[in-house]
Formats: sequence, structure tokens, C-alpha cells
Amino acid sequence: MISVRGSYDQCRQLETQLGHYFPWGFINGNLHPYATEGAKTVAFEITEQLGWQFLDVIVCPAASGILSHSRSGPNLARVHSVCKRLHPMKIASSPCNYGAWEATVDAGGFIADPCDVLDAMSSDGYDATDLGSYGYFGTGDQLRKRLAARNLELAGGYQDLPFADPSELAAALPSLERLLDLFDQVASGQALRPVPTLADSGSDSRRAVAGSTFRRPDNGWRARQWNAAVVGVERAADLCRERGYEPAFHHHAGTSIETAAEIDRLLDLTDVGLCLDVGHLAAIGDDPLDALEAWGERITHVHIKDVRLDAARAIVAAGRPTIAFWEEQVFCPLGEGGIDLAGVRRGLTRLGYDAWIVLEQDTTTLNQGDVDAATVDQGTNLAFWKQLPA
Amino acid sequence: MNGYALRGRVCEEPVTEPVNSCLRCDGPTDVAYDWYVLRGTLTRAQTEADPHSVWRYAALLPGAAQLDFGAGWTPLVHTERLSELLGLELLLNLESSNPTHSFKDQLATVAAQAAHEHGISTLCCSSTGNLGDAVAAAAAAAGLDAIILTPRQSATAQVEPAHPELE
Repeated sequence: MISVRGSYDQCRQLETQLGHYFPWGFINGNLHPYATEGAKTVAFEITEQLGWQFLDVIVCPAASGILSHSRSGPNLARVHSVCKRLHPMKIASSPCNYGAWEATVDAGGFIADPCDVLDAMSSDGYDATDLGSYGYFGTGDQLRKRLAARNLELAGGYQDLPFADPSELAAALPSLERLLDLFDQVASGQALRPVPTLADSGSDSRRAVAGSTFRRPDNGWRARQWNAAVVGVERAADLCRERGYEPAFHHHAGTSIETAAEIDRLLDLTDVGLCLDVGHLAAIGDDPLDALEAWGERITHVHIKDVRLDAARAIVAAGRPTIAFWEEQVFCPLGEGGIDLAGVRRGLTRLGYDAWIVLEQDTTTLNQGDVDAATVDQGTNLAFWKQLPA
Repeated sequence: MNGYALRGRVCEEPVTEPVNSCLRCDGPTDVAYDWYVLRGTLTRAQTEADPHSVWRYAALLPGAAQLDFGAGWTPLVHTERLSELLGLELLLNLESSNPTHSFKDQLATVAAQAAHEHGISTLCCSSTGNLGDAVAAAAAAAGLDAIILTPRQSATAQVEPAHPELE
């Protein structure tokens, strides 16, 4: 043993310098990957002694303890069927924040470079991204490598389906299978699995009037459609579960699951979790804090937005189409709108929510300058969310 | 031991020898496993039949299950009174029952075995206590030399240096 007159950091510095001269094995250098593998067995032992169940919470008062757990969970989940998730809340971004979403990608005009977008998310410190429009970030091996190279995971993928029409649904289900195939190819090693976020496909009549059941109660699903939709949602959920993914239902402007009353009814009639999108809820006049209170543990996935409430209210009051939310840019940088995001964060903590948080600020980008501005916003949004007291 | 390989984390290409960072991509290196094979061969029953040590999980570790100085398989104990007091089921995993009294024994076991397999004869680390103890023990068990760098402030009750101070 050699006592070094200096700090631990200076010991590490000396260690690195010794490495230039001697062919030794350094626990924190060339042998580090092996040491990490050894450390993970701590969590293997705990998991095995509990009959191969993951714990709800692990308190780990050891300097490198996190290593043992971040390696072991994914390992066990891969070879054994271990049931509980292990990771704390993880924060994801989404390509819609950079102007790339279904409509803009399909339109074929200017679109932000997918690798630039991933680079920006990674350097901002996001843990993951939502898939966005299928294929935008690439698929298969290309996507897997793009994410791995930037240390990003996949938080979920949006899939709208015509739930209330059995024959249309049958024709559309292969697109859900395609999404799950992509999850398998890209995210098989993730401890916190990507979430298929299911949504109703909506209709022209719903999209024509934002929050329309407030003004036109007859614009919602009839009993017959509800019955079909419940069966449809169960069918899609079964498909996800058979493949090892737990779906969450995304209420969304312009669809038949849009208002708090409709969400209530869906949650009553099915067993799927809810993808709570505080932006979509607040935009049509419902309260995200009430939502946390009412739907509690049914909330299994969360999209965080902020909303210029006055602008949103004006759109709903005037009976304008849902697209006006995007045209008028009601989704603003976090902290600049009217949603009590501090309250939302406290509410999630109180619920013990420990899954994905997707930070969103849907926008449209017409040129690289717009993308650069959106990139700045996304860095600020992450910083804003992180500084909120848990 | 099943098929494993060192890989560059960024390029995902194989790395043959332990290195500080991948010579191709400059990224850190990771141990990668053949999940396809493991899924087909590794079972709970087989794991549960294996020895009560780090190497119980040999299929999910790099290296041969040879170096064993008693690290691992530490007990998980239920805390009756604390659990009652806190209103939850609190379990403690007693890593202190490892040979040098910390979970660093597990990682030192796997690292020393890897060093042995790659013809490395000296282990080195910086430590204020636990890691140094574990690495010294693992090196002794593997017949390797150990060099532990410790900041002077730590060299009190916890550790006693065998060499004069360096500056």
C-alpha cells in the first residue's frame, strides 16, 4: 500500500500515470468492466433470495452501489421473467419537440435531421426519447446503434388505432405489431421497458371542434361504439402484453378519448394504464392536479407539457378545430404557461410514480433556425423539470 | 462461463484485451453476453444448484469460476422492529459478511480472475478503504501483486501504509 500525500482524486491521477508505464490491471481502468460485472451480483443475490422478485425500492448506501443495480436488472430481465421494474423516474424527450411528428414527417417538407435531434437530446442529458413518427429515427439495427451510441433509451411509441370499429381495427393492428417488433429490436435490454402508447384514431368531426363534447355532447362515442372500443382496447392490450409490453392509453385532442369524463369512462371499462398528458388535458380545460388525484395508480406513463391557458381557452370557446392548438403554439416552454407543474411533480412523487416522464413542447420547424431554437428550449425544459422539488 | 466478449460501448465492436477505452471508438468498454444462447440455457433451477458465492451467477459473469475467496451470497435479513416502526417491509442485505466486510469483494473477485486470465500480474487501485482491502485479498488469493494508492488523510485507523509517503 502506498500512502499518497494528496486527495483521492490525486491518487486516481497517479494511477492513470502509472498506467502509462506499467502493464498492470487497474480496477478503475482496464479492469473496470469486469469489476462492474462482479458488483451486479449483489442485486442478483437479493433478487434470488426474494424468489426472483425485484424489490420496490432499493436504498444503497455504497459509493458504486448504483452500478450493481443498473447492470443486474436488465441482465435478469433478459434471461428470467422478473416482474417488477427497478429504475427511478427517467426523463425522455420526443421528436415532436423538434418539429418532427407524423403530419410534418409525412408532408415531405423541411424536417429536422434525426441524428442532430438525437445528439441534442443526448447532450442535454435526456435519458431517452419517444419514438415519434415510425421510421423517422430509423428502424432496426440502425436505430438501435443510433440510440446506443448516444446512451439514449426508448421511452415509448405512439400508436393510434380505430378502436370503435372492429373491422378497421383488425386491419390496423399490424401497425401495432410493427411497433412492438421495433421495440424488440431496439430496446430488448432496457430495465424500464418502452411503453406502447395507444390512442384512438379520432375523427374529422372531433378534430373539427377542440374539446368538442363540451359544446356538442352528441359528438362522443355512442353506447355501441363504446362497447366495440372496450373490446378493441382489450385486444390491443393483450397483443402488447403477449409480447411483454404494458400499454398505456393516451387521451388526445381530436380523438374520442379527450375529456376527463371520457377518460373516466375508459378507465372504468378497461384495465389499461393511462398515459397522462397534462398538456392535452389542460388545453381543453380539465385540471391535471384533479387527474392525478382521480386516476392515481392507473397513471403508468406521463407526458409533461405546459400550456398558454388563455390561448387554449379562446380556441375551445370559439369552437375552432384542434389543429389551432398547434397553429397558435399553445404548447409553450415549461414554466411559461399556466399548468402547475410543481404541483404535478409533487403529485407524481406522492403516487410513487417511477416510470417514464416525457417532456414535450410540440412545435413546427420550417428551417434549421427553428430547430436550433427548439433545441435551446428542450435544454431549458429539462433544467426546469429537474429543478422542481420532488 | 458462457460466451462473453468485451465490446466498445459506442462502436459495439469486440475488444480483445482489457483497455482503458476502446481503441476504435474511444468509448468505455463493456462486457457483452450472448443473450440468445443464455435465454436457451440458463434456468433458475441451474442457478439455484450452483455454489453459494459470486460464481453462482457465472453464466452472467466474464471469466472462469476459479478464484473464490468467499465473496458473495451474503444474507438478506428481515428487520422486524424497524419494519413495524416504518410501516413497510424493510430487508437488509448484510454485505458486511463478506471476507473483507464489503461488497467490493465481489467485484474484486471478478476483476482479479479477469486479470489472471489476461496474464496481468499486478492489480492497482486508488482507495480510501474498502476497495483496497478487497483488491488486496483478491490479489493474494489469485497469486497476484496488489498496489493500493490511498490518500494520506485516510491512512488512519482504517488502513496502515506499508510504504513511505509519496508526493
